[in-house]
Amino acid sequence: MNKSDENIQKQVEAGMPATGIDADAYQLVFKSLKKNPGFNLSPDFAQKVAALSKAPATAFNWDKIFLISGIVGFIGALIYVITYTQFTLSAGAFHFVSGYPALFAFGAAFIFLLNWLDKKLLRNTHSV
Amino acid sequence: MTDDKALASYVAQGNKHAFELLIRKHERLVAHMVGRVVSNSEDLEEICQDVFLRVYEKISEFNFQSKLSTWIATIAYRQAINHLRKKKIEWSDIPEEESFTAHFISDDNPEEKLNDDDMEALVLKMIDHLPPQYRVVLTLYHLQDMNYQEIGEATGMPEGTVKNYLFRARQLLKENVKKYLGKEV
Repeated sequence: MNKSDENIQKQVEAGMPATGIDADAYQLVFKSLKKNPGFNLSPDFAQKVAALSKAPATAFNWDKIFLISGIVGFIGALIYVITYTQFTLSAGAFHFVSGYPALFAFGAAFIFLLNWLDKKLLRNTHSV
Repeated sequence: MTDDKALASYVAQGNKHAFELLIRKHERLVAHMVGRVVSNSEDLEEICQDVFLRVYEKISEFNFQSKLSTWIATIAYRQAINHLRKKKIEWSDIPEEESFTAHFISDDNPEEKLNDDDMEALVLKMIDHLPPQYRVVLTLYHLQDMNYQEIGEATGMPEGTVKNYLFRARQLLKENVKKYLGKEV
């Protein structure tokens, strides 16, 4: 953008005094831009269109339908898999943690610290 | 906003009187938006009618995350562009900066000075020769008092682009107007 033109545009728009041929031309341009461009509709336009309208169809909420069928499908699949594979809950690979309580505590504290630093330092500086 | 909410809710329930009020309230905005894109007054009323029928059809889905006027302007903008596509009229990008500037600000030197009324009419004619994107942005900003964000929402342009188009369009108009200033009568 041309800085000088940008400044004149701002001055003229704010109604501040500006001199020179550019300012005079901008004043005319801004004044003309407020004029009705002559796109007029017939006086009974609103009445005519309202008469043409049919009762709007009630919105069909597809999002809800997809969400509910997704949840139902997920639960069905879960039940089927559990019964078919005779699945039982077990800590599996996480059993080893019981041998290293200090490591587990350090891990938890470290994650908590990172989250706290993120919230305290980073998010505050980036949010406007 | 509360008025708009109540009005939209009545329209969504199928109240034709409320719909008529809504049309009266926004017909100027829609006519300006469509007129600036289409530049053909013959189709203006028909397209505006389609815009409002679309508004009527879709109003129950409107969630007031933006102003009602901005939402209606968005529909008007899309409907006008669809009309151009149907008529196989190209909706082109902004032409190359230098070639367009040279074409828009012609070398013709006007013979005489015009009075203010004539000048205003001339500027309105000049606007018709600007690219449609410039015309739309100028109209929404100066006639509908929309801000950059609202214009961006209505047209899908980034705010920076809106600001840039607005500046460029006014600068082009100014360059043309300058040729008429300071001439002897």
